[in-house]
Amino acid sequence: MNEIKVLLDSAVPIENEAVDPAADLSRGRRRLHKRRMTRAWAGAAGLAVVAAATGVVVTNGSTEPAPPRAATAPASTPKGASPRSQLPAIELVAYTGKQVPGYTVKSVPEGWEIQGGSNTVLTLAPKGFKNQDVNEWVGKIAVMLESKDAAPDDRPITEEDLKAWGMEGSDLARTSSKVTVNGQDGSISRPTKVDRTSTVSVSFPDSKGHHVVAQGPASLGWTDAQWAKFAEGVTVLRNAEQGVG
Amino acid sequence: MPRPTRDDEFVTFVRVNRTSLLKFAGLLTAGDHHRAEDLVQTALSKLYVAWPKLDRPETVLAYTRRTVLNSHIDESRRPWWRRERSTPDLPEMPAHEGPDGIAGLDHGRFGPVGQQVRTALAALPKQMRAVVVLRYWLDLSIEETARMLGCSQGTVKSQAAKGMAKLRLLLPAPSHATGGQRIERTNP
Repeated sequence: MNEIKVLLDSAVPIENEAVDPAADLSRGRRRLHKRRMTRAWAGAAGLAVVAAATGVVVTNGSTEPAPPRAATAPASTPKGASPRSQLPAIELVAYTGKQVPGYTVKSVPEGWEIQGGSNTVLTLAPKGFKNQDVNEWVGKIAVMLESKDAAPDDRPITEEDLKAWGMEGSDLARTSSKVTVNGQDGSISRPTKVDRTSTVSVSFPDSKGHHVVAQGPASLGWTDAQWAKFAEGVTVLRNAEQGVG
Repeated sequence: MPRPTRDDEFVTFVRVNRTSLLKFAGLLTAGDHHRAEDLVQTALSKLYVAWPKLDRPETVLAYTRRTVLNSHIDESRRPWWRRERSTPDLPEMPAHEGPDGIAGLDHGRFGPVGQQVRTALAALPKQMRAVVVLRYWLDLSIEETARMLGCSQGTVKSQAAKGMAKLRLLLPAPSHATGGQRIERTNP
């Protein structure tokens, strides 16, 4: 019996070298983040696929109305921005329209509206956006409470983490930076490589201690300060509920 | 002392078990290192998501092996997934290719035996290969193997017997088999 084991071993002569878990950790966190964002409301495992497919239609721009652009450029270009996202950022304007259960917002991107929502999620999209499904967020902004399944340590990997684990360099897919929202510490996670479906997410505590997550397209071109301003305008209502996943 | 976080525990698990998981996946794929790497990466990312639900440490490795196995078997049901797809960028983590070829699978560095075994494994049907690997490389019992594969114990016995017979046929030369050893007849 031992002979066959030795023989099989010889078929995969992979040397026992030191393993660098950074890439696996990064992939795991990406999967978790994606799963959480796509399943928070419906808990549907296939939502990510639908969203990805929808994203192609949205970002090709063949049928969607072009979001309006502000006349002024942002104060600084977000880190990792591509030429596409270096277009003038969409300005944040006061929102005076109808609010929905769960959350209210004080400001929205110019030319955007509240598309809909529930106790678990609030969805903002450009006016007349083709995809009217409030549970698909490609090209939209989604606001929700942090998932019930979120562990306390579910935060983006930082360079400090890598150093603490004795690793050097990284292939981090996203970078994280601190931001102050409502006078408290929050974080902004940005993709290192921006493509058509890249998203920026902001995690922040509101004034009542809720942990809130807002995610939107990187193509908005918003700086950290603009995301923080948007986040400060979010109010979590009493009937808001955490999603799962 | 602070309780280890999910990240700490996951990092430790990966450090300890990644190589053995890669070998396991390498055997299932008959030595296709790139496919094996894909399977392990997929399984580990799924493991990270499922981590809070795996409350007993001994279940973690079993869960990950099973995920590797399921991903491997699932692919045969989804042929579209295996088609080549063009991408604008190179893969994020290129294989470590040195002057002797891709590490771990180079004929010159590791001699002809490994290649012979990989060729023989590749000649086995997917499930039969999985039975052989689970029974004789991981030393799982017939019952455990049947549970892992979701089949009957009788199927495991017959597949193991047929798999070993085929390997004996394909690897006849004892001089190639690890210093003159030959595959002995074993009970399935």
